[in-house]
Amino acid sequence: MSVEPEVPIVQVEEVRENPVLYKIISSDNHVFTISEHAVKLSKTLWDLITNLGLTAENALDNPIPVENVNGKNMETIVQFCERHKYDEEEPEYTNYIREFVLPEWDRQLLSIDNEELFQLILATNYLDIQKLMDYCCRVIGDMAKDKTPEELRIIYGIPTDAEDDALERSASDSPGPSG
Amino acid sequence: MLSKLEKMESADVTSKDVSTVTKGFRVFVLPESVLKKVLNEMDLVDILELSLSSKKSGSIIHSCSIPVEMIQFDWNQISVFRNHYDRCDIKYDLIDCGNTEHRFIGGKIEESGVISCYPRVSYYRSALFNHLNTIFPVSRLFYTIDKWPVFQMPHELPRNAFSLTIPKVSNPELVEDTIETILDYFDVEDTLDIEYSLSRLTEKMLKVKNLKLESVLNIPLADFLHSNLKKLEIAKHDYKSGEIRDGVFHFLGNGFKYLQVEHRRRHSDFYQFLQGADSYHSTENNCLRFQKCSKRLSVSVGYNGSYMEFNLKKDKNAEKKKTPLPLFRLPALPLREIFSVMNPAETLEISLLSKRAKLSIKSLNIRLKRIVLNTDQLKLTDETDESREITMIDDDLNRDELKQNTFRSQMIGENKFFTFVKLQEDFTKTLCCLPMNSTEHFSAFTHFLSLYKVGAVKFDISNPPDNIFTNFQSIANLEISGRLRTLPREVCNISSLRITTRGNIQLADFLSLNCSSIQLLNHRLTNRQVNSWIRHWKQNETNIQSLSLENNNFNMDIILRGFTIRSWQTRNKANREEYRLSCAGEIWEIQRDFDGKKASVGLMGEFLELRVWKD
Repeated sequence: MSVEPEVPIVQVEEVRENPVLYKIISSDNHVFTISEHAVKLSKTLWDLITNLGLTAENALDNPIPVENVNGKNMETIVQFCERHKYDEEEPEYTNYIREFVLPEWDRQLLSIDNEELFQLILATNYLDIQKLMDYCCRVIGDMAKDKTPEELRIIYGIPTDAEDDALERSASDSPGPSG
Repeated sequence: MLSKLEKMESADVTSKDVSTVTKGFRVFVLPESVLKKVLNEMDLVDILELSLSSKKSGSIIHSCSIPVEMIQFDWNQISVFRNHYDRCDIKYDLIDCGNTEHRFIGGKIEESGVISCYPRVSYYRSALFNHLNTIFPVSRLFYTIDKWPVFQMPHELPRNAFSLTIPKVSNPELVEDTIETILDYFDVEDTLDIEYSLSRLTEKMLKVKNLKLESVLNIPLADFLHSNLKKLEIAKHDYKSGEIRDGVFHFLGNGFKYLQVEHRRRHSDFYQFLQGADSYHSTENNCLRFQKCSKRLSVSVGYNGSYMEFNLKKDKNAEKKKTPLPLFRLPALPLREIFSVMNPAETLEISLLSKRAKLSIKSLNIRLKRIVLNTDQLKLTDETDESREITMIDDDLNRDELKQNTFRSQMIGENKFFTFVKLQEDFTKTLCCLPMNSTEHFSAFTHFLSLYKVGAVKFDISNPPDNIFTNFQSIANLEISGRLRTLPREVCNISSLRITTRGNIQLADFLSLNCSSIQLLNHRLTNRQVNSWIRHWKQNETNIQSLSLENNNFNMDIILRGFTIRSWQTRNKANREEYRLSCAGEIWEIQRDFDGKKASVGLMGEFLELRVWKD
């Protein structure tokens, strides 16, 4: 029986370590540095980097402005991407519903106020980070567990039919931009 | 007491030990703060040895206050937990041995951290415990009184106990005689666990926080109310359901946090038990929850073996996350992801909150793998094969009672439903969706069909009302098991249709089918009718790709009469061989008039099959 040669762990780490860093500027002018492996988790950012032709040499001199994401959310996103940059790619899902366990570190990261979580999910959607999207959605989906309809209405900010009608009426009664 | 131990130990100290003490490092001369650090680095067993070396050393060690979290005492063992109650640092095995040559505290520590001790008289057992308690400041003392009448003189032990356990022993008569003396002697702070029948409650018992009683007779549950108790567990009792129910309402939230009582399965229905309480389903531990009047507190009720548990919980989420998360303001992609992690029942709940919520969910095209509808049950299976059963009729529950009580009700369309989750005795959960009037239960099914993109539906209702078929167009795969008189128009264009029950459907109805795949079992079609159906296929443009009819001793001569037929062949050789092998007998080929498409007709297993080939 042949035994496969063991690869020393240190070599694997050396290969993994990538010196290429990119700068991202949030909508409120905070600057973040993110590694190449981490930024690849965002399809939007990676497409942008590729289209702009940024390389290891000029990456830090050309910060990428992201108008739709504020500093607070960008910080969370950078933390998340750096944490998961070496995660193995998940196989294609055959089922529509995905089964996964939300790791404790990520649950802690996403234990934030609902308003922040809402903004984070919008930012995640814009930056197209699939894994973070999955995790955010799991957290939001889990809020429905063990709740009465009235609690669901409050948690998810769902107006009643009467409130919806009133909103619609007031929207149609209010003068338009020209009027 | 200490002097007695010292005397015992001094006999064992050799002259070599003495010289070591006198010529060695004079540890007790160190400043107290330094000595304390040194002692903190030492094992407890070494500190104990040092403490026994002289009265003064014992006193110095005591003054250093080396903290010990807990000491546990029972007849055969003393366990010392220095830092954490999960990790025992030393165990002293107290071994009955008349051999006086043994040192009382054995010098050898076994790998397991056990030190053997040989108390010559019973008194020494408590003497060691008392000595440990003297030299170390112990946070918690745990007593297990498991040998009687060992504590005929309990005054030898410290009175303050964190926990006192009186387990069952082989000579219960001795316990019954003296148990009250023991209970009066100790001042228990936290937990009292008694595996004997109690006939009365004492003041001291009501001062503990956790009380666990094996058997309570003739003590009303209300007698526990005026106490410091946070947790009460009673195994055997003579309480009626009403008394327990009143107890739950009075106790929980009134200082009590937990109540566990023996649960007799014949009175198992939570819903009857909690009559009048606003109960709702909890995902935790197979239990129900109901609201307590105080804010952000709810009581969960569940089975735990043969007990019912009532557990008061703070709703952490309600405190932490006050701002709503405006779900339907999210973009479609995350919204679809969110609903994909919810189960169908949760999606149903949200869809019923408003018309807009329903429309928003509907527009997401959420998939459901399968719905099975019987006369009394709706079973939903999602894409991960997790099933949710929705009961339509429940004989155990009386609708009039439901109306009187405060069960949650929701409108589905024009109809009102009671919805709740029922916990079965095997811990499976059923979402009950009981219509206010027994004839309205199909509207829930129609609602589901309008909400989800359903892969397959198994429909087992005989002679259903016509309006049930309203949303059938969206189904990809339909199996009809119930008896139908006619085929509704809505099923004509379903991709795959399977009818398994003999009904009274006329041939004209079958001819209107435009499904890609049709399979009929238990049908009454004659050879001539099958011939007509094939002729219909030949002369008309339909989507039929496969027509399978269970073989009623069909006569192929009659079935194929009037057609121009020839022996079947398809250009695809692989398909041809495979199909031919799976068919019995000759396979014939007919050709459609208007587009020249060819179909094979033959006996495939138990079926007569017409199959269209892409040649």
